[in-house]
Amino acid sequence: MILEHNDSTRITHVTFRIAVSLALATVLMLVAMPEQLVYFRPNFAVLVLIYWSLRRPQHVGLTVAFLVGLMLDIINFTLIGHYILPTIVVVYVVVRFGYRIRSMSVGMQTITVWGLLMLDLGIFKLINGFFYSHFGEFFMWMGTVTGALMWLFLSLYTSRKFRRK
Amino acid sequence: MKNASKLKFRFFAFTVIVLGLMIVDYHSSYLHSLRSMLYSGTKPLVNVAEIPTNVAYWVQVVLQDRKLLNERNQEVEAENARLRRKVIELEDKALHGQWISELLNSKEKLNEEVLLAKLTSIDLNPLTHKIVVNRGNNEDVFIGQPVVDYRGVIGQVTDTTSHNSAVTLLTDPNHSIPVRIRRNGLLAVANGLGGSHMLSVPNIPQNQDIQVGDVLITSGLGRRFPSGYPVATITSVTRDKNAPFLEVKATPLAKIDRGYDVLLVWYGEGYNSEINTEYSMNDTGAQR
Repeated sequence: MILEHNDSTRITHVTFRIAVSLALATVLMLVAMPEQLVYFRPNFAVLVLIYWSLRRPQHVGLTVAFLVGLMLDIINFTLIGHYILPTIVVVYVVVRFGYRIRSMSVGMQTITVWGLLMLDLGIFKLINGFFYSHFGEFFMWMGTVTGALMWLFLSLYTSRKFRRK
Repeated sequence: MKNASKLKFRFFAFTVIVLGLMIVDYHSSYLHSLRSMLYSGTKPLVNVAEIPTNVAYWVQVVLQDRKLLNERNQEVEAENARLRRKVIELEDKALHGQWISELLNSKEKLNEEVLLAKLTSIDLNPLTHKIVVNRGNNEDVFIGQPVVDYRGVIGQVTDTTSHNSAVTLLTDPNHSIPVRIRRNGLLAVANGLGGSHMLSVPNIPQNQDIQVGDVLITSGLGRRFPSGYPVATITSVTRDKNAPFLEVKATPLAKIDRGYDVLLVWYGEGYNSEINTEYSMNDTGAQR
């Protein structure tokens, strides 16, 4: 992703954009889909959190990750903490190593994001295995691939748009 | 460097808090009221997520041919007339049955109280094997309550908020339901198998009479599901001479269709005792 460092700090504006994008991501995770496509749905909320914690680490950090995870747990009727733990781990990694991820090429960044999505799902499945002794279907991993591809196409699209300017 | 250690500390603190929350939520019901309270806060997002499905459903209804709808209406009315006649016939038998069961001093109730509920048109995480219905604490829905549709058993309520509840499906790998074969009364337990939307019926000895196409109905054992509701049909029976038991798979009869209504049945342990708060997935009679 291309980062603009010369953005004026219109905090309320940014907060609004962050909130709207996270709400939209949550809605996308809930919209009913044909059964065959359900496993291809990525964790949109984590994808958006990765984006914002890369771009605005001063606004989106562990607290926001905690709240988003809590919201997902409430909506999905999962154990409180089931979504929170993977989400805060991913955001911690992004905030901690953000300076490295930001300077990567688009391809490397996509692979990193894929890794982060797999980390997220892996922890989610591990918690499920620990408490309910099953890890879910293998096809759930397909969602991480879709998520990484979405990241790739969106970054290519935005980088081209900025170059044209 | 100072920032990094601060971040590390915050991460550590959050992790400890989350682990604590998970353990408390798993072993107790202290967080149920918190969940119920916060759920109303997330309701707008759920409502927005429902819009696409509802619009699609509405468009489908509007675009459907008038003739087609008329035909369908006639079909439904004919079916209704047929069923009404059957009800009259059965009511007489039921009365007779009640008389006999009173004579035998049996406590079994013939007519369970039911409430219609609608499935909300959202998908939860596929790992949870849950659906959400639009009835909750305000309508006295309780944890452990059986949920059925006109085809068969769907599952049981495992979480309630004030206006919604989550229903765990029969196909959840941690769900088991006591059943019997309608044809010969053979008792068994059907376990969920997760993503395959199938049930497995374990511990059936090699010499038992069980065939593909047999219908499983609830046996009423475990006192969680009322007896006599259809559950599944047997779809495969594998005989392995070296194994002590048959490998039996079944497909649930109920379908999870959005827009259709389901029935909440007032029956079972949770209904008789005031509130079944000590519920957990592993310690009830109906669970594995």
